[in-house]
Amino acid sequence: MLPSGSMVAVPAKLPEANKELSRFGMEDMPNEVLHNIFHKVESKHELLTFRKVCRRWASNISEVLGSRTNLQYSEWKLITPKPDIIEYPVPKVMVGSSTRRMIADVMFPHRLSSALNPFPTLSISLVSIDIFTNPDDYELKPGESKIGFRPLIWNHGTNLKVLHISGNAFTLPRPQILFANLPNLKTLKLKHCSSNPVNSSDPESSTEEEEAKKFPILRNLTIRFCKMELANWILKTFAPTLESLELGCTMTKPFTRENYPEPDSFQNLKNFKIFDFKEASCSGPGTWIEMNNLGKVRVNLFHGPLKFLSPFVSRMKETIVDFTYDKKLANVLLLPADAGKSEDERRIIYPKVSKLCTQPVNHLQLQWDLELITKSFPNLKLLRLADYTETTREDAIVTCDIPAIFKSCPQIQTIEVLYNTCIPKYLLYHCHTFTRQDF
Amino acid sequence: MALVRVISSDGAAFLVSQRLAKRSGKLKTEIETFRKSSDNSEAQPEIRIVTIRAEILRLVLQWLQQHQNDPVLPANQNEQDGRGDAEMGQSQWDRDFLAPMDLGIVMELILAANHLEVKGLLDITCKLVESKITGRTVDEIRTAFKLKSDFKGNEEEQTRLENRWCVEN
Repeated sequence: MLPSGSMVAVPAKLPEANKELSRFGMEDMPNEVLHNIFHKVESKHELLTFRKVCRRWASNISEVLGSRTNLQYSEWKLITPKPDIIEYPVPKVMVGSSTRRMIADVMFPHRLSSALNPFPTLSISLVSIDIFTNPDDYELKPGESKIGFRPLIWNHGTNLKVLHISGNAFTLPRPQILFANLPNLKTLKLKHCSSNPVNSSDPESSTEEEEAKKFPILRNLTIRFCKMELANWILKTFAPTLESLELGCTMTKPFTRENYPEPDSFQNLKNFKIFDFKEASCSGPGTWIEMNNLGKVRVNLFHGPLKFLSPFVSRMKETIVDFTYDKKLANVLLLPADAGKSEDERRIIYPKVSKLCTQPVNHLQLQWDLELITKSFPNLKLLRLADYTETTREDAIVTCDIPAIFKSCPQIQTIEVLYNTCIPKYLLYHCHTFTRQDF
Repeated sequence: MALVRVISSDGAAFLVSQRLAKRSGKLKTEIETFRKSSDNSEAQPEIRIVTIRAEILRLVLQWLQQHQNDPVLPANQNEQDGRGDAEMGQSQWDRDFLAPMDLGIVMELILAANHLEVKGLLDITCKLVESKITGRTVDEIRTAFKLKSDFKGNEEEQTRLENRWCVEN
């Protein structure tokens, strides 16, 4: 007797191979197959290289790149310096639609049960999703929960105060409708998002004016790696109520003043941070700094953003350029090599600086001109000297001539000497702190 | 044993148990549609696959038969982690199965697995293609897969810039 699962009869002689049919090649592959192939490439560098093969590959690989997190690349395993900062998506919640075959991780800061009620904070890392599609029939595995993004927003949106979204293919086809359903939203963090802005011709959407009435009073906004259209719309919509704004690497179009709301519209802004601007966000000449002391991170503090900062500075307590790659360096002004060349910038920005971080390249530029520091940064409280190799506290005092700095710059109360040590795959940061009272 | 006749584009008929056939999403749907529309519950379904020739269909059925006791994978399983069951452990049988195939046959097998919704076979064949592009230069890939650069002007550079936002250090 034949087994129940088997091929019971095969033609004795198969037809001869049709040569025409055997000419299938890569160009015949549908997009979902190309995605499947590219998803199996572990190296981000290789994926980026493969985009140069042809237009179709470029397009598909861009989608694949956008749907993956850095944790999914082989390079990540090599360069990650700090395993303890990884945000693990636990527990998982699946969001998506069967038609798009999309899956998302929803990361809650607490256990799912407590997060759903009262549902105060929701952090979502979306691989790729159409926000207004229904959840699919994804078969849940133990420990997973499923919730559709649309019902999630519809049913819980009223209670939602903090919303974090990341994932480049996260599209907001009608962001105005989303925000109209989040009346109590106070904090919004968007990363790798894109959108088409308001589409007034959409019959399903009500008028802009009606929707604007329902928009939340957003206080804190972070936009990183977002498409310009979305960033513009959100900035312009929420500018008047924002108290805290963080901008980083907003792409596609040059980061110029005309793309943004007038500085005057930020009437309540108290805290403004910009970070990790890159070439494509600031077309034109810029200053690149190789941050060798910080995990080889390439940072661009661009001339443009500093100019862009100027209008805000007058109403802010201190100028902050947030270097978020390393929390220890947050809230300091890191001087690019040509910063301060403009007299306007120096006059407007430098007096607001209370914390200053310099690197050896800047040390050389300043030639330890302590008089310059005293004059340019009259309100400087903390001077951080970065990028030293391993040094003892005693050596640091001598190498950096700490007593001389304190003596020449009476406004400085604290000096930190930052150095790193390397072990395989990791870069560890250390800091010697000196106060004026120590000397 | 319930059977189904699966007929290739070039007219070859394969008599297959329905249990085996149903491991293909496409064939499963066709069998169920046939059952709903047929008055005779004993009637034998006949499914014509107009896009897959006999040689390739035989390979698909052969692979299905070998893997008839494997768990059926959901179609979207590998979207999230970038890897499917191909990573979970390709058997020696799979390696022997794919080894003699030239790239043209592999391409056809991919298209067939995709059309018939045979996730496991699709994964291992895509993995095979991935292994053939990884480590190669752009020119080598173009040569191997007979692809031509169709970028115009500075489009290639423009593409790189436009997608820069995906590239986070």
